[in-house]
Amino acid sequence: MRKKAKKSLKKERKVGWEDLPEDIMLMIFSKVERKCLFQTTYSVCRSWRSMSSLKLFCRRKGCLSLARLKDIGNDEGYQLMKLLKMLIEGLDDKFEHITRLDFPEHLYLSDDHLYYVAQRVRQGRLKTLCFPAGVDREGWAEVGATLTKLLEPTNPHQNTRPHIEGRVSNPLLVQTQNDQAAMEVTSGAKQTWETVRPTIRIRSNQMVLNASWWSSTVLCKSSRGVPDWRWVEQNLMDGGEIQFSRWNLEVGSIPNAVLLAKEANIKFFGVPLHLRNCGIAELLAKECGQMVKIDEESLNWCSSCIRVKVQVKEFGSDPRILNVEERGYVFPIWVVIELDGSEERPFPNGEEELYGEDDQNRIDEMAVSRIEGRQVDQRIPL
Amino acid sequence: MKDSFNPSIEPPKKTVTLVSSDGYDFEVEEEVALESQVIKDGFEDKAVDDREYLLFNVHSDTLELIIKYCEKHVSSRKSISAAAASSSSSNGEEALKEWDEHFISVDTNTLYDILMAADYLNIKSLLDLAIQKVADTIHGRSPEQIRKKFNIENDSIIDPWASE
Repeated sequence: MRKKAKKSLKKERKVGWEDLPEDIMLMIFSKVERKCLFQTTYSVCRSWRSMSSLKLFCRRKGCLSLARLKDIGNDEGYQLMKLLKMLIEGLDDKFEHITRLDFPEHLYLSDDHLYYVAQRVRQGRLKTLCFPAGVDREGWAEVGATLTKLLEPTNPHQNTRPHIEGRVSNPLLVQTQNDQAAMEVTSGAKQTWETVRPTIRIRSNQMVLNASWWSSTVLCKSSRGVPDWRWVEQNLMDGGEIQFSRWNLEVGSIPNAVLLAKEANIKFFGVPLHLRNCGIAELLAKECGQMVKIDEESLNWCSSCIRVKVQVKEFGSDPRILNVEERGYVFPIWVVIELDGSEERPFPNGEEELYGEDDQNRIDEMAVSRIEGRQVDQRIPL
Repeated sequence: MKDSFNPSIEPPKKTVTLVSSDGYDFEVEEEVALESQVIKDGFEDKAVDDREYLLFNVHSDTLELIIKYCEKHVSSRKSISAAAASSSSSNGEEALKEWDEHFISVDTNTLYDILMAADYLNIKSLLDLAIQKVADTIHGRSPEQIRKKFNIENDSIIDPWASE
């Protein structure tokens, strides 16, 4: 190695440990123990503090997750309190508007902490608290219940309406004891405050709460028509009425209970009047499954369909249209499964009108004239 | 570094020139300079007679240290692999570790310069060494001691741990 002078350039040196580039700072802090971050580096200076908090908390817009504090032991409870105070009161500019607090599975919290958090909820600073739910989350249901008690408002019409959520981290565990407890917290809050705004139901696979919001897929369902999506987006973070439900593969489908029902009423629309008899009904029903009982009432010329109770193996495999051929004439028959109470309507609007209740009289007239016409040269077959 | 290094028939060494921010030329062996990932990345594209690197962010004092570090690492790696080839036991790695520790035991200003230079030149092992040193320095010290040690002005308005 040789060193030789070339030309003198300007010499500029500025040592600033407080101005270290963020990536280097984060590299250093990942070598530092969490406890040390918590107790020491946090108080050194502003830039170190914000870097420490980046390491200590997961944060999104307005949301603070305490997940990384999980190994902070009991003895740090006092300091955790202080830290919470600083963050929530907005003393730290990096965490200006915390409206939501996410609790990890294992975190030591004393009653004081809870009381503090509850107070902030009352004041409207915090709007959403997320607790873990499901198995292995012992204690959290209790915490939720305690908190709900603390949150009982003196004035039920206060406009800051906190919303406590139960979070289920494992979507496969459907019904567990703690899960239910967490649900109770939600419903408890519901009873206390009247819901004026529409409820948006968000279903998601896995832990949507820890995912960045609009990049992950969420399915939304509103209690009142199509929601205003701008409103939804705004209120997601600002404490609107949002409910989370577990997403599963059957969301939006016909409930399995209906599909597995052994017996169902099947309606056959479009059976020609002269074919309305038990034999035809039996034949048609056979195509859909084991016939149980024919609705004799429907076997008249006035009703729009033949109704048969059928034991069905699988609804999905039932035909939608059956073609009945009689002496060269083909009559398409609509097959309609009657789901409990709500009737599926296969007809386009115009068609339906024809068979609607109001037109019953007209159909009667048609039926009579047609029967009269056919009586002359046609025999009812089969 | 070339694996087929043989000390008995030494080829004529190729050199590159590193220019520090304050205008000093450092002529170093090619393989020493290649310790820096940044230099290595652009190395093949440069013509053989034009291997000069202007390091605007590295002061000559720091560059000298960095070159010292790289030279040491290149040479000790050679001796370690030579020892491994002749299957003779060697405590080369431990010795290097010791040397590293001694090397990085500098005042915080120098440490800062080394840290920044290692980051700029992308010398992974040196960066790790410096970062570990900083982390070690932080450990076991109070915020006040850290401020003093690293010469940081206390710009925080509130100390969260100060009792009310």
